[in-house]
Amino acid sequence: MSKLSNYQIFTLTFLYQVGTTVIFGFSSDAGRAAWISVLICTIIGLLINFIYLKIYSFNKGLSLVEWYPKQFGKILGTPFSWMYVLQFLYVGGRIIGDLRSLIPNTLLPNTPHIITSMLLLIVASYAVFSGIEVIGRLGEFFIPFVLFISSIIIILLFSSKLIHIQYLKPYLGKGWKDIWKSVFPLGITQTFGQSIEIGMIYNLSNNEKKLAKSILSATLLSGIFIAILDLLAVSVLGEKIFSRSIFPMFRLVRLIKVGDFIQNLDALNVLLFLTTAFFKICIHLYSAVRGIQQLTYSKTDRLIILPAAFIILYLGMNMASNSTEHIEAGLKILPYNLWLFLFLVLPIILLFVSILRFNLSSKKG
Amino acid sequence: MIDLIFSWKSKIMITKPWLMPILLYLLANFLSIITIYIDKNNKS
Repeated sequence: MSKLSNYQIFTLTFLYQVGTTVIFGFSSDAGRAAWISVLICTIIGLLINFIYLKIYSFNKGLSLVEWYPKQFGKILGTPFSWMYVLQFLYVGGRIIGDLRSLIPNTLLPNTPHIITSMLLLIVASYAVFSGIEVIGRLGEFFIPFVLFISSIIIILLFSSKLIHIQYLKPYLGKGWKDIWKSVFPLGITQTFGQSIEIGMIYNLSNNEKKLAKSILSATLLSGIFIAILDLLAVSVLGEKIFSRSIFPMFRLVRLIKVGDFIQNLDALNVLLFLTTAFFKICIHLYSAVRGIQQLTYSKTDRLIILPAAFIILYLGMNMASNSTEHIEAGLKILPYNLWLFLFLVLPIILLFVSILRFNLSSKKG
Repeated sequence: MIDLIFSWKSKIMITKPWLMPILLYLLANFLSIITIYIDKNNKS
């Protein structure tokens, strides 16, 4: 079985959690208090990820889709595992949907959606064909690139004299009510709850003792990273534009102008988005493929990659007819109706069942 | 089928979003029959 170093798991978790927030922003409903909302989400996210790691400690050596059949029994547990696999395919499709909204509005207005989406999926399929070790190594290779580009953006924003600290005041904006609205359920499910998917690669770690440290430190770092992005966006754009804009981060980078020489750096931000989106889609595709392989007891996952990629492409092209519908589904419908159940309710029940079964078996033993 | 559950065009998502997890669970149940069938065949 392929193995990943803990640093590789750290990079994959970080890139997965940062994902599309580099362009869409995070907790924009909270207005100028978005960064506070992100920090609260990070603290709750750390707790949620700790729960996932705790569940794994009771199901050592098993992937996420094997946890449920082991603890709930095959008949009750297998449907839950399939629900996660279907969700991975759907969320993979959502990344394609994000790409469909972004690319025509920014870089390539006349290129058909299917071309850009297919190109990204072909590269992601090739990465999954090559194996999780290759994806891990790519993560190691790309994380300095992501941090470097982000640092350049931050330095250039400061050099352009666009930062207005007064836009951040009063720090709590409209109050705790709005902050809490953006924290629960969207904030905690969107990025940190979704990390349950990393549970598909927990058992690939070559040093399980340090696994928790890697996952939790990646969660903390991604939370701080997103909070910094939100802080910058609010202090440059102001509360109103930040909350109303579909791509606040993209808008932010477009404003950079240093001495009439360095300007129009929007491509830099899209490049950053494509990098994180690539990792996110790779992990969705890999998790779906590995989940299907384990649930159908297939010897190889290679035959499943292309059909799964095709389903992701089909879903991405058809789930919504425009960006507004796509974003509406992601912000208002999915968190309440699906993600809360899959990322919070079910894992907590699973944790209790795992503890109970562990206690019962240790008493018998 | 996944498209029918998740797609905005199917209108289930907008008008009865609470149906989404139920339909997804039903589809997952159908797929788990395949898993249990393969598992039984493997054992025998």
